[in-house]
Amino acid sequence: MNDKEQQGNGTGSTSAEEDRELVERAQNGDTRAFDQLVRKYTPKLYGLVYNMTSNRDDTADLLQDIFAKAYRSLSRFLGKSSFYTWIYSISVNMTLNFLKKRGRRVILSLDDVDSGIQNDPDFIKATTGHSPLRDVGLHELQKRLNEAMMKLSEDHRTVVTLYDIQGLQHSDISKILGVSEGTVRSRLFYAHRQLQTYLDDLVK
Amino acid sequence: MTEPDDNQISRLLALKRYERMPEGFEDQLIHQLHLRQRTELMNQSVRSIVLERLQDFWATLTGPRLALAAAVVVGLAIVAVKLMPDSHNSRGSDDLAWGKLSDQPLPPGFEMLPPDVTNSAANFGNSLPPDESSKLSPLLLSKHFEGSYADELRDAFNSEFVGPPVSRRFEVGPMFRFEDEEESK
Repeated sequence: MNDKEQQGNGTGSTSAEEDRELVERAQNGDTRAFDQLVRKYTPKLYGLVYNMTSNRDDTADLLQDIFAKAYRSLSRFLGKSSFYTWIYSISVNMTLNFLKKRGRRVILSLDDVDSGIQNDPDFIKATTGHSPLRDVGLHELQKRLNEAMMKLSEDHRTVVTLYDIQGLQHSDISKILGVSEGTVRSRLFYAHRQLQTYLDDLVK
Repeated sequence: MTEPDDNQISRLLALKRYERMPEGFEDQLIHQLHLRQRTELMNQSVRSIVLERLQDFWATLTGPRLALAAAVVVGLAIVAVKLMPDSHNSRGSDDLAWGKLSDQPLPPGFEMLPPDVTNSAANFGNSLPPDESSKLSPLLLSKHFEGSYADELRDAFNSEFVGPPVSRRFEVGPMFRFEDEEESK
């Protein structure tokens, strides 16, 4: 399993089976089973929604709406796709709808940064030597990345979030968004090119 | 755009994975979800319940169920059409009146035929026998020239009529003379 797979659904068939079992129990009225699904998917969906909205309060509200809708619609989930794809599709659609309603009113808020980042090889590599990142603080970096992300269109931001941050594969992203893999690759290409312009001083 | 640039951007964006949600967020979210579910259950209106059930019903319609639902709808439509008054047989008031007349019992040997009013104006006079028609035409002509009734009876039976008939009342000069008058003179 490659790096993307580990970071993506990251779970393999065992997790899919576990999900199926939890979904069946939840469909039969076991609310604890649904709570388990919420616990399992909250960190991933939080990352998705937060990176699309760049606002913590909006993220918290949206996650509530997403799980409430998922609970209401659970009886209609037939298991044709994995629960993971299904819940991601709901999350992306609801977040995109929210962004359309919110329009240009954007209040950026920064999340806490895991101290594990200090040990991340990419971070170490990026912040040592002659890299421009060396002189940039973690919060400054976070702020710059968030600002650059918010300059992207919603469609481009979605694929960047799912691919670069969440680590999903092209095929999974195409299933979640309901577009072809070619479209996903094309959006990624243009999004990266735009980000290259916005973050030019950090990637030199 | 070169491949290394793409990787650099990807590596930079990957650092955002280290952003984490606030402590205890999951517990708080689950608690709020439970509260919300209870509130929704308490405050759910009849309309929203009906809508939700309808949505569930339509969502579960697949294959044979859809066919069954379609058959039920078609059946109901057929029953509705049969129960409705027959709009094709409904006519105007004349026809209704004729319908009432035709309902009356007739003596034996009689048959009630519907009136043919469609071509009555165009066919007026054509139904007369040719002899009667030739007798009537002088009468009509006399009306035309006199502006009133001429000596219709005489002209009607005088097959040797020549020229337009003139009423005696307006006979002021020897403009026209009838053959019988000339004979009498």
